[in-house]
Amino acid sequence: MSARGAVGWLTTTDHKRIGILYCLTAFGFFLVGGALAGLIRAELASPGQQVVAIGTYNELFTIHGTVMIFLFLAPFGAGLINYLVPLQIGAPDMAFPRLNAASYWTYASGGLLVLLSSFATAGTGAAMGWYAYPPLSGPRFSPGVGVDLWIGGIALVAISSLLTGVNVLTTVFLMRAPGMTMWRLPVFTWNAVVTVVLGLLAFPPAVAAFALLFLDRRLGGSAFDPAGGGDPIVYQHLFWFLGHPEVYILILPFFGVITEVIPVFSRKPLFGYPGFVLATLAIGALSIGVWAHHMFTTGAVDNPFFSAMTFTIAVPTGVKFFNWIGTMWGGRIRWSAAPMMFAIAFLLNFLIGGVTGIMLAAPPLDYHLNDSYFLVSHFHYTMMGGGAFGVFAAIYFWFPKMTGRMLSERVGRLVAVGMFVGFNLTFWPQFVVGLRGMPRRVPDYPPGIGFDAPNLVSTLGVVVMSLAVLLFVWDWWRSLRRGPSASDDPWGGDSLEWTTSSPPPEHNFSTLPAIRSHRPAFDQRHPELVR
Amino acid sequence: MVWAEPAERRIPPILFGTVVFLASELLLFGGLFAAYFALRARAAAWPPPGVELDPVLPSIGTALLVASSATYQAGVVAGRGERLGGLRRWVAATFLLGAAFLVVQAIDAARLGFTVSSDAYGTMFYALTGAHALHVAAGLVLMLLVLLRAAQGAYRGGRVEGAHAVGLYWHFVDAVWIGLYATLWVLR
Amino acid sequence: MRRAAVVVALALVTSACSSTFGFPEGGTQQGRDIRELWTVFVLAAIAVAGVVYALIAWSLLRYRRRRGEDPDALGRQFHANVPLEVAYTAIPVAIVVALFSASLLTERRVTALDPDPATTVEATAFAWGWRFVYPEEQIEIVSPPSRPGEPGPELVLPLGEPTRVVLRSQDVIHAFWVPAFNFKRDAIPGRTTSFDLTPTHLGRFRGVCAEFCGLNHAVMTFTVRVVEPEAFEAWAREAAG
Repeated sequence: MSARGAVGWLTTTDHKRIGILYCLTAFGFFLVGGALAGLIRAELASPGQQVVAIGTYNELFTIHGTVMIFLFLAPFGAGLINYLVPLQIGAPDMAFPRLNAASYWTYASGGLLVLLSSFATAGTGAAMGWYAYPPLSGPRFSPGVGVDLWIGGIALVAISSLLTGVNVLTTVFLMRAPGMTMWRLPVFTWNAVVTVVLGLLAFPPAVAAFALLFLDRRLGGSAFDPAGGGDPIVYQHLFWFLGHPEVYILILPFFGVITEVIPVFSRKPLFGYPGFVLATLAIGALSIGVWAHHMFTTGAVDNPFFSAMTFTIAVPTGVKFFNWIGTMWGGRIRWSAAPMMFAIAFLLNFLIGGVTGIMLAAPPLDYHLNDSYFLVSHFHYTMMGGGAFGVFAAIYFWFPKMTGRMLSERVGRLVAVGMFVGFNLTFWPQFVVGLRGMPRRVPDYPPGIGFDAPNLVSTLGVVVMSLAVLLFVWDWWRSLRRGPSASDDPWGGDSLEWTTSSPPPEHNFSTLPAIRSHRPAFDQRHPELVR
Repeated sequence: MVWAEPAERRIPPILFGTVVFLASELLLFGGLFAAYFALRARAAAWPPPGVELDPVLPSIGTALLVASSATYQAGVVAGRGERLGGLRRWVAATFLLGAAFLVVQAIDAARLGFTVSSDAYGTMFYALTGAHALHVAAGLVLMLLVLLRAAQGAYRGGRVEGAHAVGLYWHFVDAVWIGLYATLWVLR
Repeated sequence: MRRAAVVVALALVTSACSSTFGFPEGGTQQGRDIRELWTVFVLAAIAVAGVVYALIAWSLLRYRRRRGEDPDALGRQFHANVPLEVAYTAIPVAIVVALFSASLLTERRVTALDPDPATTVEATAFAWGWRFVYPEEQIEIVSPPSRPGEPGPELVLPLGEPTRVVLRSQDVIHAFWVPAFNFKRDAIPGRTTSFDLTPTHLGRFRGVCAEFCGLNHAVMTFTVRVVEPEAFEAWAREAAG
């Protein structure tokens, strides 16, 4: 029996509690990162320097990027993976429960260090951008302790990701319930597998890069310092070998989320399950070979090769879109349900992120678009318009399972519409200013050259989005205590977690249904349809 | 085939997890080796003039590490055969060989005429050997844990998966060293 | 009614073909090449996104659950359609191959170096300014530390002739970006990189640093002034003297 109350949560090794801790911590970081984004947009609302000093501004976007990528989106995905994977494969817990708790606390400490790297280091905070390119992040140009804390924090997050990866892979390969073959794994779990494999492949070389950067900074090394025979491009290769798979580490769990949501609310099975799984594997494989498309403008990499790889990755992504459309086709779609509304918003936003990604995959277009606001908008359409909307779809979908209570449907619809409108108001104008020549990471811009109006609209969009998020937080807090109680299966779900109680008991299942397809819960409700 | 049903349970989770972990660890060294060779390819002279590498001590170190892999495996075999005294003695012998390797490495490093801050070569040399030495040190700590658990009565009835997992790690550290030795002292 | 629709559609198509879809027209031969590639990509993107959006909209409207319908009613339980799946994999492959080929051809042209450029500029970026050296004309232009509102140093280029830019950095990574030319290149310490600019328009164009380089990154600007070749000669004589 686990201990009760706060001590119980702090000492837990239960995968469900650890999963929820991950999600709560990550969502806290989302609010922090969002507040930083609010300050950034406040400064950019009009030309001139009004809100923050330049040095502070540079810290803001550095920590905003780091928090959203390493401390919000990826760990929220890790939280869902922790919570859902054992349930979906019919296991009582993860393979290594104590290691799992260690992963969480390693992540939480890393997050704390990253926050300290800026907020607790007056005047010497990390202000080199989230990819920390040397020589700017080196000893001469960033002498303060901020970058060291940042390196330490990210290294801890990397270690946490490795431990989670080991745990999830072992769990999926060795602890599936009888009948749960790999070709019957729920799609979320498939995406989880590819996600953690990418983490296992991509984080270690980045840790190597950070270790070398630390040697350069504190022991006088010159791995990345041309004066001592080093080369900053070597850092870029090692960093983006993480950095690009990282964006798939961020997005794949949420591909998984909406692929669970869409069939349930369309009252249909996923269209083309094997194709979807193969597309996920293909994305994973290709994402390892595209890293240098971040370096087209360096003139130091083989552009055609990395460009070709990047174009190719559009194909499996396109396949997924047709899987989703094919799933909705012929269904009985309940699209006013909050999880489904967020899933639809995901589709609409991510498609823009995808087609602009194809543009950026062409090196000649990258010569204009790279490091402009067009690029900023592109990756927000994927990471936020896709990833963060996937986070909300997941919250609305699994909140009843996690807590035994329902969130408000009406408020949920309002949050979805508010976020969708606010998001597009924020980021569509950024395509425009990017094309007109506004570079990223500037606290100021000259008036009268076409930057003013789009920037103002963009800032207003953030206001709309913030209101929607605050509305959600209020509804979440209210529903947690007073929401109507949820049944075991409020949506008519497909995977095993919907066959146990809400919330599930400590070891998840008292009995398991027969597993004959990738949607055992559906088969249990509709034995007449089992083929 | 991993796809076969039902889920295979014959692989002990600790060994499966360790192999996954080591595959990932390999990429840590992969990253460092990649940086080493990328910088080497751009350098006019590599190692830089004035760098004297005497292979005698590292060769002794190599012999110690290779021997230690064998002694550890002998310990695992003894443990599987329920000879717990043999397990303890072989692991203790491995610990001593590993510690001796670190001493030899430290003596060698003290005699080298360059440091981390000399140039990119020095940085990469110490990053590679340093990362490896840290792994050896971690392995020694793990072996102390194995000895402690053995003293507490673990590994009875041939159930030595935990000790075996440490062995896999130790072989990995050994294999990385052979790559390092070949890169830094043979290929240069 | 139908005629009006056709007229509107035609107007949209023609304006689309003449529009640059927000991309600068491109003040150099290389920039125009890039902008033409952009037009191809945008039209492809509109076509693809249009089809996908239409399919999503149709699914959502046609197959929505109607009011009063049994909430547990199921859709048709089909799982797959192999010919369709092959088609929706093959068609994206074809589109991607076509776009990649177009991109590759454009890249060859815009990164090609003229064997005999009209002049050469050695551009060096530093925190936070630019040094432009014309070795043949023996001209050196260095910016004072940039401040907001100051245009920074002026790079002068002859119209219609290729100028070789040899780019370096003396401290951290910067990037040379002239938005009106649709072109940027990173300046990386320890490395040298070269590209050609062949201006097609007279005038002054804004240049910025595009790679974040520390405190005054935002004001590390410069100006490009394109003049007639004769005017360039005259300017060069005066600047050197």
